[in-house]
Amino acid sequence: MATIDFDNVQKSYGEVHAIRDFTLHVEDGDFCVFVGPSGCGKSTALKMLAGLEATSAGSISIGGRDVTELGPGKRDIAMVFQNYALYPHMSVRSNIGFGLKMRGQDKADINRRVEAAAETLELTSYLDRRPRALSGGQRQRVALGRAIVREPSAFLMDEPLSNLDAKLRVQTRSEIVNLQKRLGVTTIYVTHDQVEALTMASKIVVMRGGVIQQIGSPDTLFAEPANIFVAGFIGSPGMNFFRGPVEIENGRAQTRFGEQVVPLSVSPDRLPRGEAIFGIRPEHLKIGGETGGTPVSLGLVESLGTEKILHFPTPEGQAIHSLQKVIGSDDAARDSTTMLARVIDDRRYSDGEHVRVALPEGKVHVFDPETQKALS
Amino acid sequence: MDNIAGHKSSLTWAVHISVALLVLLWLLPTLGLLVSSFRTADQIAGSGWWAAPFPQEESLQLRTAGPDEMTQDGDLYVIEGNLLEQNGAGDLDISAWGTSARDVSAYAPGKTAEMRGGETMTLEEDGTYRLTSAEAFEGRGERVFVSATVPPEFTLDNYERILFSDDSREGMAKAFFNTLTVTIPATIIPILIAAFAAYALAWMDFPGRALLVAAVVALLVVPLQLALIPLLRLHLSIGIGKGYMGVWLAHTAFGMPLAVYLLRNYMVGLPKDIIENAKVDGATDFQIFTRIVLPLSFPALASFAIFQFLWTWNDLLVALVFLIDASGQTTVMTRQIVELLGTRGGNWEILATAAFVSISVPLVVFFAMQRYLVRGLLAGSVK
Repeated sequence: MATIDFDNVQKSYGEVHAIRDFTLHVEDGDFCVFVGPSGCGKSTALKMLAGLEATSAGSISIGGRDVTELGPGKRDIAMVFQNYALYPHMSVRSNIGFGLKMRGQDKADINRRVEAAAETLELTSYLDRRPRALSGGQRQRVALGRAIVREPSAFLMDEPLSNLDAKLRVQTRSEIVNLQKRLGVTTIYVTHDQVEALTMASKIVVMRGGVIQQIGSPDTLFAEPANIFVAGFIGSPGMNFFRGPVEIENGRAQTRFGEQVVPLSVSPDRLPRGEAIFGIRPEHLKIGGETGGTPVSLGLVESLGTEKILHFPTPEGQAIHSLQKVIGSDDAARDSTTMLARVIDDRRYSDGEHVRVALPEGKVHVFDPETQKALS
Repeated sequence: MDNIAGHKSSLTWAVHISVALLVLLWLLPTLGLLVSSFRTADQIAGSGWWAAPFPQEESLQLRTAGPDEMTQDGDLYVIEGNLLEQNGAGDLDISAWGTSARDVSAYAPGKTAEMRGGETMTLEEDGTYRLTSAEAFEGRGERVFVSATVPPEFTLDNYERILFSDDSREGMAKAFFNTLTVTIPATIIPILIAAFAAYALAWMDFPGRALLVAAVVALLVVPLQLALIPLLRLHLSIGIGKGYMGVWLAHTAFGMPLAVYLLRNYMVGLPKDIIENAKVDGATDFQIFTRIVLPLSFPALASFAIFQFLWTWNDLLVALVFLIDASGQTTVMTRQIVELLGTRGGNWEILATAAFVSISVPLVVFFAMQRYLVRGLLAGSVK
């Protein structure tokens, strides 16, 4: 049980800075998720915490103890790897007990703890098998068992679910969360899947290009993204963006979305003059009102039963053409000239249908076009 | 669309045929050697090894009894008996016979031959003969050439002679054990050293590592003949001299570049995550080496062991330079076979047997270890 602190950690490979100014405090018992597109440095950060990569500058402490210069075996952590990294030549029992054996525990004690861990993960009947005789999900549980049997002060998990099929992934996701809650061990979890991050984390660290973009709870990240990147990355589908004028009327700021005038909840003196970038989540868009809003013609309609994703073109002149670079290619389903709305109702929509789209007040996010930071 | 699923490319057949040809190319001489080693010198001279399993027409040179057996029948002096029994040739059916080396099958069985000096001879199919002459026989018995069908016969005499003969010029037993004495340590020592080196070069970070790997690769192309004389002088000057210690060290040194290179390449290919996980689990480098890397590298260790074993087993040059001295007590099999070629060059049965004795151990080693060459130990560790 321990807190984890990164203090201004840097990592560079020659001229290339993989991690810059990484400062983070993780509370004891937190489930902290590092999330970001591939190559954002999240795995490097985890490996530095594990001691598998050296830091270029800064310090890392676990439970108040500076571990920056310690080897991975001395940091009292356990790690679960993406491909499980089971020892293929050992039985499940020896795999789970390996860490304890390396620490010189006596045999009876190791056996007792391995049995207990196997019990927790329902692996008891597989203890004498080799990893190759196990299914993907079982291997994954062995990897977890190897971590929990040591009772370390922190778990580090590097995309442990990415090799499972979709159904098993959802199931294992909740198993890991429950396990972590029960054991109360501080956990750092790396993933590129924002759904995993939102559902599992008590604290999310969004990273991009080696720099932390925002740290916060899932709700905070969803409701108050710090910049365009976080807004576009978090949520499924991500936030819609459009360019709009900033107008002041009666001391209140407003913008336009097609024909609709959209009042803003941001005080006028914080807004840039002329234009700003606005964001609205697909689930906040109001579709199909009789009056108000702006009429659009639906492009693609993706139906998932009750839930439907409606595609429609961004109103003329309001598309942001540089957005692709900002958000990254994570959301391949759309380009910057298309907006998405997520609706849950019993109405049927068809391609080419004309509907009215309205932006409700108070749900519109405003971003500075220069810095891309959120304004509020 | 020839290469959609279900259609074999015609190239597959070319591959299969080439493989079959290669197998035959290697197998046939070995089989010939094996068969020849169980045959007698006469059989080898009479027919090829492929005829060994079948009965064959063979020409025997036999001799009748001498004047001691002579009896007098009226005017004639007569010698009677059974040609086959007297010569210990066994129970054969004579198909033809002759009294002159020029025409060994001049007469059919039962016919009477007229010979020089008024002698006549009658030979029956079962070998009974009657030799008559107007004058008393003198000297040795008459030579008779007999053609008979001999059933296939295999003998262990060659092996007995090669393996258990006390004659040091012929016996292979001593050389066999000497070779083992050279080969086993010369295989184990380089593996032990190279495995440690390979682990360090693959998984431990230290300055100059890449340079060391490059040096090892460079050493692969240095011919060992270059080092023979300097190394022998070194051995003599530090007091090792000629002997087993010297030959072990030489084989170790010459095998090391290949061993390090092979093992390092294999170890580098082991999944990084497994080794990192062991580090997080608290294992030291030595523990990672002995408990994770070494067991997982078994296929590479086995394949190098086979290489090194075969190479040291078949080696003549290094043994000649570093081991064999004037006393001849430390001779090895390759050397012994060379000697046999000189002294018993005509005796193919001896040479074939010696050769087969010398390849038997490599064959056993190969068949015992080859499954490790094929088996992938890594299945199931990473997905």
